[in-house]
Amino acid sequence: MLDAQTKRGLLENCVLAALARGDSYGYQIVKDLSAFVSISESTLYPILRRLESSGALSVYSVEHNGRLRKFYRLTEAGRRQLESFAADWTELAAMYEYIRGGLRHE
Amino acid sequence: MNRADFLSELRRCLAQMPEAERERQLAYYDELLSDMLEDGMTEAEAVEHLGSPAKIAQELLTELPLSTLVKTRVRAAGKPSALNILLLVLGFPLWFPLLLSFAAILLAVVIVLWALVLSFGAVVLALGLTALAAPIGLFVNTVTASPLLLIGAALVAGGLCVLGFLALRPLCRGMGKLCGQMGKWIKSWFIKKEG
Repeated sequence: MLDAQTKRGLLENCVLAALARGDSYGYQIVKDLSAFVSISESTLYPILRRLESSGALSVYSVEHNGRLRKFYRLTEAGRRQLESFAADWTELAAMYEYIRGGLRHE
Repeated sequence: MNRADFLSELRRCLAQMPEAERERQLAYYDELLSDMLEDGMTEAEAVEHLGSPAKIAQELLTELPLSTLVKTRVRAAGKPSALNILLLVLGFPLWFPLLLSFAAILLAVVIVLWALVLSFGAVVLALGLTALAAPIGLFVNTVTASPLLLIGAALVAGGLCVLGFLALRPLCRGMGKLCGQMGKWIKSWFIKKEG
């Protein structure tokens, strides 16, 4: 089982990756992500908030059906964070492949 | 529970949160509920899907810094009466040393635990140095121990050093986790209990 810290970091980058595919809003992000990871609406909020205050994403409102919908956009800093995360994981992915290979040999 | 119930219950549970932040949270959940209804869910389904407001609030409050929790907790207790202030002042010689000693005990526990880890690290280091230094005795005339003994000692010390080193990492990690848990525990005192 992943420890809380690792999982939190992973989820944060999943959210960044979702936004790298285009601006989005809360409910849509959860829907897009839930196909790959288990993330609930109440876990998403603190992540968005943290990313916003660290400057990784910016927020704007769009009118929709007579109400305001908050959209999130990846900033340049957010894109850089995502890129460095992906670079770190290239190394981990190689280790993972090696581990999987070991299991197949059993 | 319908949508209005959910939101007012959430507002009530988040009373300890600074107002601006609380309004953001509520706006987020309000928007989510609107989106879920548009997506074809019924109000009851949407509320059910989000889960209990008390649980959501608990999670959100634990994310707040301790200083905010203490501040809002004190404010939530209401304006202190003149009698309370008097008692607080008169009782100062009693509660202050108690509070201080309690804080000191907590601190001492943390320090002792880390000191144990540190001394373990020192032992590992000493074993490593022994392993490196013992073979030097082979070339020094004044050392009278047999060469076989020196080599044996070096190997044993080296082996123990490697084993200890391997144990050091999980030990540090476990200790860090323990300290984190302790912080959460202290925070939970300042989160207002339900009811």
